[in-house]
Amino acid sequence: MRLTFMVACVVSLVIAFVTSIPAVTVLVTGMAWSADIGSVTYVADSFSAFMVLVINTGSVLAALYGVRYLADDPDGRSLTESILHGTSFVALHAAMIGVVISSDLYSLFYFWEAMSISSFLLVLFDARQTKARTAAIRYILQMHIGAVGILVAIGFVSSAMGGVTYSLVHDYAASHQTWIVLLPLAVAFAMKAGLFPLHSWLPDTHAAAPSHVSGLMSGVMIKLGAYGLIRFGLLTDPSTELGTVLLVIGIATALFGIVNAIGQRDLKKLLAYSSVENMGLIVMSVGMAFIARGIDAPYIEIAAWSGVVLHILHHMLIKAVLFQSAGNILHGTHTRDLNNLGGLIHTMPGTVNLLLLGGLGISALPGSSGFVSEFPMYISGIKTMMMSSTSISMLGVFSVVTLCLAGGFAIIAFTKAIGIGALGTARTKAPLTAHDPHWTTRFPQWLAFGGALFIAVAPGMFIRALSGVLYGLSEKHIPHDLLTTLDTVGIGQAVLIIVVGIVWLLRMLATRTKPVAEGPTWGCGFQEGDARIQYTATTYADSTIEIMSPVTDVSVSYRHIDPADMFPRTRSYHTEEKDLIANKVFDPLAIGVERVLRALAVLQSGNMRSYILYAFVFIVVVVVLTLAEVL
Amino acid sequence: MIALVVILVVALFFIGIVNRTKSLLGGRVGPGLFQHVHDVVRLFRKGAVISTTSSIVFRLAPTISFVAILMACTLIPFGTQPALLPFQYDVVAFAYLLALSRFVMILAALDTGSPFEGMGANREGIYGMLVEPAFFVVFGSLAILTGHTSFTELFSTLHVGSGGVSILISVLAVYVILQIAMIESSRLPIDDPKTHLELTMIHEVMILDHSGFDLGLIMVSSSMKFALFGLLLANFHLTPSAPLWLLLIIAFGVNIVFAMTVGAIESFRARNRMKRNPQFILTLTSVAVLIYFSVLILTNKLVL
Repeated sequence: MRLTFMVACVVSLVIAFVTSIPAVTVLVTGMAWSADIGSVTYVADSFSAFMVLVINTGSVLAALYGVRYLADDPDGRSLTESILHGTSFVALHAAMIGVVISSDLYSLFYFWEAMSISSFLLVLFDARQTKARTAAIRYILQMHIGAVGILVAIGFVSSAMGGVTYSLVHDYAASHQTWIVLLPLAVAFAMKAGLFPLHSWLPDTHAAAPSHVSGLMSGVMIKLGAYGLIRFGLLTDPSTELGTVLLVIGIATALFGIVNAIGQRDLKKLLAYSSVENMGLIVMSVGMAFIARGIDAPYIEIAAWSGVVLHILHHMLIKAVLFQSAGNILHGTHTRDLNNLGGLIHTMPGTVNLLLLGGLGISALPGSSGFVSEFPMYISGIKTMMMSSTSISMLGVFSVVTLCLAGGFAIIAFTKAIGIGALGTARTKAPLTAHDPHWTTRFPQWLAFGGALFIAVAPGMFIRALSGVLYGLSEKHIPHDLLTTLDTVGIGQAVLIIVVGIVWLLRMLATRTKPVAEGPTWGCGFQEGDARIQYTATTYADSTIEIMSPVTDVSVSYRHIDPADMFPRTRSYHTEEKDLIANKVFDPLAIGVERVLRALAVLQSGNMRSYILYAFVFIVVVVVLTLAEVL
Repeated sequence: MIALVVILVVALFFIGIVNRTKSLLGGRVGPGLFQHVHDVVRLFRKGAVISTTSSIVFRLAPTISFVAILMACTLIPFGTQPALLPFQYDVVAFAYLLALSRFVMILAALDTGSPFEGMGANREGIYGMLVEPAFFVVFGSLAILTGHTSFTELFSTLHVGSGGVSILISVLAVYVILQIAMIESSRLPIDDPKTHLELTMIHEVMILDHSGFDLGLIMVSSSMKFALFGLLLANFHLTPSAPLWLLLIIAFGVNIVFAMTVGAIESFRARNRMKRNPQFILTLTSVAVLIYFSVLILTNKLVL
């Protein structure tokens, strides 16, 4: 197992190395790269080059982690399984690069499907578990339904223009109704990006996939949905209306995602819903950029794009840290249920430290990369509030309120993930016997965190380095005072971290000679306190879920005490967190479709005579219709 | 720089005035004005008792929380005197620094493994989250009104009675900021610092296990948080034409009135039912939206 994945890791490194060189060249020189392979042209402009670098970083981090993670894999795998997993990993990496350098819809469709299928095979890694199989099949079905959108767009464009290159898509959109081509494409991209209400595959799939794959899918693959929306949005000359639609979808996705993240008990599902939230924020910001372009507000547009670019980078790095920490925890304790965890900081300090740092980052708190990536989004939001048109100004209010609510909810979600999962007392025996995996497992995590920290203290530098990308997206130069603001924020973050260090040292100095006694936690007079009286993941989320009940779906099954019960009997209390959309919309829909198909299956009698009858009826109908001159 | 000094000085006596007001209104003599300072100094000298359940998070949290509040202080100007570290959109940083302080204190509470502290932590998270939209809408509206987006620029042009700022907006803004200050500092009507039942506490229950130096730091942080909001309120009244000595008198005067208001509210009002708190906090957001629309009308952006 270890050897086969190591080969995959090396191949991934080679792909990353080979593709990063032209990508960096594009970013430095600002000249687009293009190559003809056969009759197909591949083009990488600055935005594609940026995405190539994001894909490479994410894939390499996942590959490095995967080598060690799979080495400790407890289940024996056959050689075929291992080779399939390794090959799919490399295929996913290559397909993602293919998606961003395609310049016509056919290659896009080809790579898009390759991406879906290879990630499907990666999710199937734990196919011996029913949950993983179900999640994988739901995933591939939804991806295929989404991919039909690209085919529909191909149909429209090629029949009207005789070709499907991106420039012809642009011409088609300019000469026809834009939405005819944009809507089917947007469905495909929104499905992949996990945008509300098409997100329901995402939490299950991320939870079922092995942790290095979850990190890669969440950090990189779903970003390609946003890539598609941006690419084709720009191709079709984005209007304020398109921007408003994206803004509203982004807001819905962000709030729905983070509220549901709070409800989850499964650590990886919680992280997955947080990815839904972050995709929402990215798409909201894209919408803001399109609105700003429509009303000709260059400052807002550049700020929104900076937010998009920084957030893609930040989320890729931090989600790698978090999912890999979750992988370590799963590996050490064999459970992802927060209600069975607790006290991990004493047994797995190395992993929990990273979980803490990642949690600070993903909650966008000062001192982290999340803060600098959301900062430009706030700038664009507040600037939009200050615009003269009332309706535009109100869109600004919505985006700012979404950002601060999402931030507040993220604090609840991640204090839950860390506080319930890693702090306090162990709720079962599993966390007590857990131990940190080999330090090499944490190496890619520290690498990713180091990158995120660099963004946190030098956001201005990143924006300068990516000025080509921003110019490509907006065709405008970065205003100087935006850079100064970001520089100041970066310095402020560095100062914050340093001052924390200084105050901590002073505290150590001041308390050095003071006596420190140890004792049990104050139980408020309760003598026999144990782990069971702690707050659990369910109770911690309860009050939020109560306020937010319209968008959450937590079912409680509880056997009430029967008045006739003279003696206590075994009681049970069980809660289950479901996805509102999956549970209330898609599942009934799927069941309905199945029912119709089952009814139609009467026709399939298996009796040759009936089939001959069908053929006869068909011929009669055709003849009659022809005679009646209908056909 | 003046702002930081004012905040530190106000932090010395703020809690004292609140407690004194409460005791006088309750018919008692009460503790001295600087009793709070004595308490903190005594705590700084003491050793600590640490729970065996807790980890480094528990010990580090008060420090990070204190630094976050300290950094928030560096963003507040003093009238036309700029803040220590002013930058565009520092309003955002201000709110997020308070959030950082909340985040680490919640983790510290959960780190003890106590059921009561978990309860307090959970409530703190929710109320802190609910109060943020009001803050952003108010400062967004003030930004629309003045065209500036940092505290320093905002308060160099904005004060009660100055041209273009109607009394209505000032009164509403001051009301909302006052309520935000009460919620952020965990005072009535959301939380009662003097309650004696752990089940009904929020902030006090979160720090049950802290002792010694760390508890001192927490007390300093909460005093500074009050002074921070006090200076924010005072900034509405600091007219640029006045000499420095007058400005200082105004600033301290506003803070003393603020502290007495807090004391008076705490003497005459009962704590909300916990279930009512979310509605109560969301009312603030609606008042903030009222400010937003008044500003739109004032700046002729919304024509009725």
